[in-house]
Amino acid sequence: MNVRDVMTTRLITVTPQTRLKELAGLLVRNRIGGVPVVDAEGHVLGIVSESDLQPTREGAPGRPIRTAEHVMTRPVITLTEDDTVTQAARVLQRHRIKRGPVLRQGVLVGMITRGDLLRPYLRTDSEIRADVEESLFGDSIGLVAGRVDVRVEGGVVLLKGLVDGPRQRALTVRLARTVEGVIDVVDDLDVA
Amino acid sequence: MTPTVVVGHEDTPFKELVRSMAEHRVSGVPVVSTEGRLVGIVTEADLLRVEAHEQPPRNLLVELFIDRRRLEEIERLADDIRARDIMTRDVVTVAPDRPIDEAARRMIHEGVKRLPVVDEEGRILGIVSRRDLLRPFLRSDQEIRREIEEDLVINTMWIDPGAVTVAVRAGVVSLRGTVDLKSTAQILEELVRRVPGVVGAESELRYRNDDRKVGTGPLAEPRWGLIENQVR
Repeated sequence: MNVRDVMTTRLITVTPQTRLKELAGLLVRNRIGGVPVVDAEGHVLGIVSESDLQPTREGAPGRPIRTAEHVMTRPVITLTEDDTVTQAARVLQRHRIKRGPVLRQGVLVGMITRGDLLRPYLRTDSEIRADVEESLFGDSIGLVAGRVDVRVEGGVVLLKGLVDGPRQRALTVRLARTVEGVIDVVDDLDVA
Repeated sequence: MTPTVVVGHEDTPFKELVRSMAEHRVSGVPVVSTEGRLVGIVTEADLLRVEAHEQPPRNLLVELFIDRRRLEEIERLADDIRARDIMTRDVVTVAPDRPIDEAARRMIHEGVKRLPVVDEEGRILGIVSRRDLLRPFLRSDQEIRREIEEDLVINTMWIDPGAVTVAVRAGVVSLRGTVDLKSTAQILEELVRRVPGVVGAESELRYRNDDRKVGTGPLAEPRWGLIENQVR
């Protein structure tokens, strides 16, 4: 699974001139923790997150009005659509950040957050089942489609039927277990 | 999970809850009875709901940025409020022996950001947070290599461990050696690619017999070299 499959494409952005008060309102209304700061061509100049916003007496006499460019973090750690979800998780962790802009040829096309990386768990049972079946019967490990029944309930795969031997059994369980979104496998297989 | 470091009791005052959250940099505090049983949880959202907002804002700091006067308002209201008045009583939890994937699924489906881990008696042992869920992606090269060598090569594929050499660097796996069948090499490559934490895999596996004739399916052609995205 790649970044393109899980990223948010509904983009909320600000410009360097966006006032911080307006920016804070944007975060609250959209229930997001940070926004990328972009220029007119969609190039990412920086990122502003909750932690960059400190309570101040905004607009008090003698105080300049601050905007996104005053507080944004630079340089920005970015990802590309083709990065795998695992790579993305590693990048976020290494830089201790919670979100990153996703670029295509240098232009912003999406955002990825820690929460997005957990999207495989939102897959439906029927999607999971289709993948398990493709994995078991498509990529030949010598399993006969009619002899093994695959059911998925709440992300748990139930395998029932006949396999040729213990090695095939171990392979069947392993392949099912590693399909995205699977949380457990119940092995009800019998060796023929 | 992260072992529980900060808990509240039903009569813990609002202000103390706010302070504990800030001090320990957490966004939720489990509330326990005197016997240590989980009875509720107070989150940032619950604290902000004190102000009777229709939609609780997600971050105290951002809210304060918008209007500082509300801090005083909250403090005034907060004097009489205790954990029991604002906590969520219907807590979604997970047992310590359940797979991490189950915790992840539950968290996502229930729309919660944290999951207290409780034993059979309802005592709290720790908390699973989103950060914890990302751990499978962040496994060390050593852990990945151990899983491939032991769980895959020996226990799943039943290959003589001397026949295959596994090296892992920054999540990228290199496989070398010679196995009996072409299908064995292909299945091993596929399983390696699916091991949690693996970023990519390079295979230089050789085989003695081709049990997959050309033109019988999508896997008929040899797939030497890079089989997944390589790290940039």
